[in-house]
Amino acid sequence: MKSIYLKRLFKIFLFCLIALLLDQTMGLLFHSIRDNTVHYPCIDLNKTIYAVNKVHDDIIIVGSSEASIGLDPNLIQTKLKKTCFNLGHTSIAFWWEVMTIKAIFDRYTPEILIWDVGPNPLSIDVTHNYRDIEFMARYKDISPTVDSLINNSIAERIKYTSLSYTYNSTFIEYMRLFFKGKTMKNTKGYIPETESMITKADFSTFTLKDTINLKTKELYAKILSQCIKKGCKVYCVFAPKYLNYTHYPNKSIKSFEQLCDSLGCTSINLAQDTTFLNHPNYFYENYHLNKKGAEIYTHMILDSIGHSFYSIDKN
Amino acid sequence: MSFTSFQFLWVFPLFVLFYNLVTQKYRAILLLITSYLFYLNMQPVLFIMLLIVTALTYFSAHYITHQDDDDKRVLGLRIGVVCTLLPLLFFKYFNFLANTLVTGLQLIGLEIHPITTNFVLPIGISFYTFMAIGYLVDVFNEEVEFEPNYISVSLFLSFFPYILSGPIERAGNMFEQFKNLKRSTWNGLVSGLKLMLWGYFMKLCIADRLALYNDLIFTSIPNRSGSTLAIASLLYPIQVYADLGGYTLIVMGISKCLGIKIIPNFNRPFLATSISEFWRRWHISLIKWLTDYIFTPLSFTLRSWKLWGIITALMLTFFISGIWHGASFCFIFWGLMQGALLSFEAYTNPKRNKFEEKYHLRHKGAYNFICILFVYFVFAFTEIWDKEGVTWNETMLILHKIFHEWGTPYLILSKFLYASIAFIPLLFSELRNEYKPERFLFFDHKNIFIRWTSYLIILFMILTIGVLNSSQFIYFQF
Repeated sequence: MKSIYLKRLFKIFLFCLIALLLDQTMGLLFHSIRDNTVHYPCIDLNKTIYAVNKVHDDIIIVGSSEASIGLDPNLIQTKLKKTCFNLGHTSIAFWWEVMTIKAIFDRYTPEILIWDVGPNPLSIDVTHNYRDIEFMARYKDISPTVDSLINNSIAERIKYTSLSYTYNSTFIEYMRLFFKGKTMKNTKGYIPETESMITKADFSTFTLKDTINLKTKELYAKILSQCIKKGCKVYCVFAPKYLNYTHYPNKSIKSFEQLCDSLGCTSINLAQDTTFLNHPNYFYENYHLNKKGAEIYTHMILDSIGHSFYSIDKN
Repeated sequence: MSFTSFQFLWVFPLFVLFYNLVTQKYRAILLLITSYLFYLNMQPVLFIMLLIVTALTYFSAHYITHQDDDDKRVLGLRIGVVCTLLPLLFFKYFNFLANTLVTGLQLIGLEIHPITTNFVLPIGISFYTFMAIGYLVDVFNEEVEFEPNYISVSLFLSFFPYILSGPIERAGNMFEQFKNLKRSTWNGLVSGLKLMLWGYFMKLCIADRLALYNDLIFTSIPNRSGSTLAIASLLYPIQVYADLGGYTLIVMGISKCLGIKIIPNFNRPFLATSISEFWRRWHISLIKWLTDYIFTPLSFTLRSWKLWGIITALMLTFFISGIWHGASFCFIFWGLMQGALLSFEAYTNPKRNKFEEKYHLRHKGAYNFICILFVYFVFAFTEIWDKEGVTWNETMLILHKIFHEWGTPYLILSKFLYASIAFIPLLFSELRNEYKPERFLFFDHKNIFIRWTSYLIILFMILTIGVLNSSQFIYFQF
C-alpha cells in the first residue's frame, strides 16, 4: 500500500520537475531571442530593453499608442537639431512609462522629455493597473529598476517563477523579429498608421470621466518633479482626438494642467484642437491619428516646444 | 475567487487535501461551508437570496410530500414554484417588464415616468432557481423522494463548482452522491485534473483569446465595417462554446477530484447536421431541463393539435429559453427564432428523410459537411441577437452593415494566429471524439510518454498563449 502512495508521489514530483525544467528552458530560449534582437527597436516589442539599456537621445518621447503613432521623432530631430527617439508603446501605460523614465534618468538626463499622458490621466487608478506589471515581468532580469517595480507579493513571485509565462502572447512577435528584424526599417520608434478612418463614429460627442484619483496625482507629481530636478525640460502632451468631448476641459484635466504649472513643466493640450476635431482624414480611428495627422500634430508640438524652449534659452 | 484566478490554483489542492482528511460524516458540511464561503467571496450582500430560495425549496418540498390531498399538493407546488421564481423575476426582469409597460402605456397616450431599480443580479440566480423548481416538480411527480436533510438540499442548490454558471443539475443525480461522499480516488483525481486542464485550455486559449477581438468589435459597432462585424459574428459561437464548454469541463473536473459526477453540458455541438441535433448537443443541461419541465408537459397538453401542438410547445419553450438568457427583446427574439427553426425542421423532416434516403446521403461525408456548415452559419446568424450588452438597435446596425456596408475587415493577425494555434487541438479533439473515439487518445494513451507530452503541450499552450491577466489584484510598491 505504502509503495503505491510513494510511487504516485514520485510520479507527481517527476511531472512537476519536468514541467519546471521545460518552462525554464523555454524561458531561457525566449530570453536569448529577446537579447539577440534588441538591435531592432523599430517595433514595440523591443522598446523596453532599448529604453532601459541603450537609448541615449537628447529628446525622448514616452506614452502609449497615442505617442508611438502620433509623434514623428524624425521631424523633431530635423527641426530642433537634436536626436530624438519615440518610446511610445501600444496598450501599455503609466507604470511602463514610469519604469522607462526612471531607467533612462538613472543613466543620463535627456534634454527634453515629451510625455503623452493619455486622454484623462488623473481619472485612472494606476495602483490597480496590473497589465503594465505583467508586461514588465519578462524584463525583471535586465535592470534593478524593472525588478523594483514588479510586485513583490508571494503570489506574484510564484507566478513569475514561470519564465515561459512571462512571454505570454509574444512568441510569434519574437519569432518575426528574430527572422525579419534585419529587414525592418529603423523609424526611431515611430509606428505610423497609413490608413484613414474606414467608418466614422455615429456619435458626435463623448464625455470623459471627471474624477481625480489623488494617488495617481501624487505619483505623477513625484515622477515629474524628479525629472525636472535633474534639469530636463518636460512637456506633458494630450494628443488630438476625433471625437468632440463635452464639458472639456473638465476638472480632472484642469487639475493635471495646474499640477504641471506648479511643478514647472509645460502641458500642451491639443485633444480638442479644431484642426483635428471631426476631420476623418487625419485619423486612423477615433483616438489615433494617421500619418498625415501625425505630421501636423508633430509640427504643432514643435511650435509649442520651440516657443518655450527658445524662451528658456534666451533667459 | 474565479476558477481562472491564480488564488484558486493553490487554494484548490489544499481544499482537496483537507476534504480527504475529514471523515465522511463531515464532508457534506465542509462542502456546504466552502460553497457558502465561495459565494460570499463573490457576492456577500445577495447571499441572503440563496438562503431564502433554499428555505423555500425545502419547505415547499416538505409540504408537497406530506400532503395526501392532491389539490393541496398542486397548491403547494404552485406556491413553491411561484415563490422560488419571485426573486429571479424581480432581480432579472423587473426593469425590463416595468419599462415595457411604461413604453406600452406611453404609446396609448398615458405619460408615466419610467421605474427602474439599481439592484445587482444575484450571481447564479438563474441556475439555482431552475434547479430548485426542477426539484419541486420531481418531488411532486414522485420521481425524486423528498430529501429530509437540510444540508443536502442547501448543498444541492449552492455546490460551489456549478453555482456560478451551471450545469443545471438534477436533484436525483446529486442527493445520492451527497449522501455518500467518498474519499477522492487516484483515478478520479487524474481524470478530474485532465478535465480541468482541457477546460482551462478552452477557456483561456480560445474563448478569452477570441474575446479580445470580439469585445473590441461589439463595443464599437458604429465604427466597424460590415466585413469586420461578419467575422466577429462568425467567431462568436466558437467563443461561447469554448467559454461555457471550458467552464463546464473545469466544473466537472473539480467535482471529479472530489468524487462527484456532474452532467456534461456540451457534446460537440458544431458537428451537428441539423438544428434539432444541435440543440441536443448544446447547453444540454438547460435544454434537458426545458424539455422535461416545459416542452414535454406542454406538448402532452396540446397533443390534440398534433403537429401544431408540437410547434406551439417548441415556440413557448424557446421563448422561455430566450428570456432565461436575458431580459431584453433581443433574447426573446433569439428564442423565438430557435423555436421557429426547430418547428420548420419538424415540419419538413419527413421530406428531408425521404430526400436523404432517395439519394443515399446519410453517410456521405460531403453532404454531412455541408449540413454541418449550414447549421453553424444559421446558429452564428441567430447569435447576433444573443449578446449581453448589445441593444436591439445595435443588432439592427450589425445586420445593416453586414448586408449593406461591407467595407474593409479589421483584423489583428497576431491575435488570430494565437487563437488559430489553440484551435487546432480543439478541432482535432472534436473530430476524434465524434468519428474515431477509440483512436489518438493523447490524454488517455497507454504510453506514459505520449500522455505526459500531451499534458505538457497543453500546459505550455496555456502559459504562452492563454489570456491570463484578467481579474488580478495588484499591490504596488513605488
